[in-house]
Amino acid sequence: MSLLDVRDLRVSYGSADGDVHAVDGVSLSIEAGEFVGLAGESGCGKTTMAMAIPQLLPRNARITSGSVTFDGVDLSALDEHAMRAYRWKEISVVFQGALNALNPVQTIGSQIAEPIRVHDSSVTSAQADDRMRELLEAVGIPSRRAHDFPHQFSGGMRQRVMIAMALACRPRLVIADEPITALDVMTQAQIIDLLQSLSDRYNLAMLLISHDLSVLAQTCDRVAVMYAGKMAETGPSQDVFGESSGQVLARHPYTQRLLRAYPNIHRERVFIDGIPGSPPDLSKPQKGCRFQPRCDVALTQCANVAPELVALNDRHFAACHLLDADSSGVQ
Amino acid sequence: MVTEPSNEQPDVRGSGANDRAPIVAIEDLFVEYKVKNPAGRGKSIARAVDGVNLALYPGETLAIVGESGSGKTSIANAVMRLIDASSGRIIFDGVDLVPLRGKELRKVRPRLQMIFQDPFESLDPRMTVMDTVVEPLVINDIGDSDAHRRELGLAALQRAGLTPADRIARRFTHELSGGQRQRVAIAAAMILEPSVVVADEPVSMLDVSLRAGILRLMADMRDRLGVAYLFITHDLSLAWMFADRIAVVYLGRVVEEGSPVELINNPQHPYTKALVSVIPVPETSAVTNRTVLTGEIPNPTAIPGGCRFHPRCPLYRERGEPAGCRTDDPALVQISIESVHSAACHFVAKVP
Amino acid sequence: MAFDVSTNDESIDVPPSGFSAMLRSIWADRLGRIGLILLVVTAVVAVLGPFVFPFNPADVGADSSTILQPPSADHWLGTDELGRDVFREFLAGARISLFVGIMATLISTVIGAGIGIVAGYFMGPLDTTLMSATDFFLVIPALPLMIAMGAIFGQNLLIIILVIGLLSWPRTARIVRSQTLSLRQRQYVARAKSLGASDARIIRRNVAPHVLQLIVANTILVVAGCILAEATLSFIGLGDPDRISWGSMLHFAFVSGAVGLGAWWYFMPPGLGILVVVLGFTLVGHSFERIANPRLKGE
Repeated sequence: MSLLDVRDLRVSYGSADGDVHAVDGVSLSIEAGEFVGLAGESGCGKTTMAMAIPQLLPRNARITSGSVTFDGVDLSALDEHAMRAYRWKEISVVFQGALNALNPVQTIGSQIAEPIRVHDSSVTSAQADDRMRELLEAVGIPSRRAHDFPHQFSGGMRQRVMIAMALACRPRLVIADEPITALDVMTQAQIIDLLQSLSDRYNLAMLLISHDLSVLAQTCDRVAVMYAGKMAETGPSQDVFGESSGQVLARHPYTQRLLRAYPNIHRERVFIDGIPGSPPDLSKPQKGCRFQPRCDVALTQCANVAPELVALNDRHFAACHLLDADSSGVQ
Repeated sequence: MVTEPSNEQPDVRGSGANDRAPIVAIEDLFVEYKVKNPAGRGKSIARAVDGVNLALYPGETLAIVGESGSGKTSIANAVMRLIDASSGRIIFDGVDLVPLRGKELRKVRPRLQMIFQDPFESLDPRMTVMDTVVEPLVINDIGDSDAHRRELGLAALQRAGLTPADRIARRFTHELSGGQRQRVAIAAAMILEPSVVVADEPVSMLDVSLRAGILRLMADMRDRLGVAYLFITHDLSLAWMFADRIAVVYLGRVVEEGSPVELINNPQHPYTKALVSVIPVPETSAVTNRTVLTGEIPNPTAIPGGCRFHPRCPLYRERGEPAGCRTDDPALVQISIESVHSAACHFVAKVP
Repeated sequence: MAFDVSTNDESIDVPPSGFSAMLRSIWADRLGRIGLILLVVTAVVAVLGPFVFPFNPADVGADSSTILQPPSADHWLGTDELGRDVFREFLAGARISLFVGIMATLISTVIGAGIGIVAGYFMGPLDTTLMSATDFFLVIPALPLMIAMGAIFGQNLLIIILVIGLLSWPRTARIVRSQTLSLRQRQYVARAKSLGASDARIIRRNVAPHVLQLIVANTILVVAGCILAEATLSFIGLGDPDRISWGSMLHFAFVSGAVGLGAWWYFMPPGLGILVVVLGFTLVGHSFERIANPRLKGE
């Protein structure tokens, strides 16, 4: 049994121009200790999908169907009160834009210690203090800096503080929403290394959300690529990013073209490719494959029939009509 | 029509280029500003740009690559005269821009344009696309009539891939997507047919799938108009792909300069080596020895003595912390005879 | 520590532009709508009232039986201490009160906005000088100064307008300056500069349009203050003796002993009039400020 199992999740946002189906039937499972990357362009629904797991969606969003099972318990059936027992303690979140989410007038030490005591009233303040120092050291901040205020930290250091806060109650799953987006390349590498070592050390499952597919390649055990509210492709990193006899193993045309959108310094120096056009308007009903208008290998049925995920091996899946049995070899 | 960059070493300054005069020559540039000390009173001097020399040749793309706090944006803003240089010269087409003021400066501006990072911020949300694109013409009093300017504006939009131009022209810039806005910004910057365009992280705010389109448009403009780019970016791999030459800056100083292929395949400065080693690539098979530097770029109010990189330098530690690194500031020296490649490190072999 | 969820809202806040859009958004706000109704009624009364019911200050009563009479069919709001019709006087007073308030506000806004934009845009020593002056005007007690200036320069309408206008601009200057300071950091200002635009053009095209709404919102609030200032000056007897305003009606009601005699029909109408118009401007002003200044949203 997986630690987390999201099944056929649908989430809609109510808006003046009608409902926006931001997540439309997405499934994803994460094993204990597994490092999973979730990628896609802005507006593809990756953040919505991830925030639906601990039920931290904005007020105008609602889960219309599907289930979220964590360690055998269906979280989507829990009320707000019962859900609170899971947040921080089982599932914690490193929020996007977290660099500005720290309270400027509270020391970082007390900001880390606070959730520890809030979520477990049996912890004494001395115990919470010890735990806080241990967490700071674990994320690479000398514990003597516990009395410093957020403005005394750089962006990378503040992100470490946010990660320490997420770890405060020893969760089993950490959802990190674009944790490295605003950071410099070297700081990004530091944070990625930190997340990986924490995942190994505490057997943490990690869901790393990033718009940057290239960052995920050398980081994650498994990646999921979303497009316009649907799962386009998911599989072990070596299947999605790998190559076999000169052929890329990624099978969804969207993934394939995304991979060509990044310069690769280990290859020939060629101009990157883009994907002309823009994702569909999700407030309108979708027919067929959502990538079809931007796809240069689309078949006739792509405009009318939405493709199902096809198993390429027991862990690698892609949703494309080119992979259907009857059209094999077309590509 | 878009041309691919050639995969061979581009001929930049190597053989024939030396007899051309640079279109922009940055000489001993310093940009300093006072910052309030966070604790207590008093102010200290931050040296954002600390003695930079760079040359940009006509039609060439020079990438300035660095992390935040490296001074790359200050260099760009100083060249654009959006901030004042403390000392040094910025010679544009034979004229030093640094002492220019008011009208004299405005006379130079049309030939020196800028593309900004954030297309949501750089275009006035209260202006239509047409007003935005023809604004440079109006400001500089180019074109015979409004109708003529409109015509030029439509042509510029078309060239920038914004079709149907007449329909897009009527919209407000805040109604466009990020990629479309950046195209509008490029169309407006190019309408004056400048000889130099400073592009400050022109694609870093855009979705990955849109970046190629914008960069191809820029490449197209380069081929068509012969414009030279000063391409400011934090992304070394993007610079490798797009530029003819790369300068890596660290804490206000150029630490290594060379052709893209040379710089990536054969980096010499320990900082460049580390940067190259952590470039994310979209494949799993690429096994790299990542050198992740510890710490962050120091504050420009307290630039370390000697080599400014020594507190974070892996080579300095490897070599047993030699005193020279702490006391002597290494100069940027040429390290290759065949190609343009120089680095500022005590341990690189200088060309005799 | 609360869980806050950042929504991925990429739409940028562009406040409504255009007069009708502005009115619509005020109308959509409950308090703004009340204010708007109050103002429209007051404006109609002040503009049309005196044409329908002209007031002649010389039209005094024939004898003592006509003074301070309670409301009747002839005199809807009774008569004043000289036997004049209070209703007609009230209408005439409305016109003068609004006129003084609006004219003084125009002066105040032109000075305040001008100083605010120039100080915020150019910064440096010019800013320091202008803001010192602003702070000086901000802290000097306005009322005593108005009294002193009114006493020195005499009691006529023009002087009153000038005195009020020249003493009520600092708040506007401060608000406009802080907005300008943030606007000048915008990339589109840097862009305009790099295109070769002159400072005058940048202020006109890229700065002023963006502070305009804030200025309008502020102006509406300043009108309320100026009307009150005029009422205060007139009430203490420094008004223009030849022009009846609501403030001077209150003044004469007070000095003639009408208040002591319980002649409510004399002092209530101007008092309520001031209340209604100040309330109207304040409600509309705050409503518009909320629309124009996104930072106040949700407060």
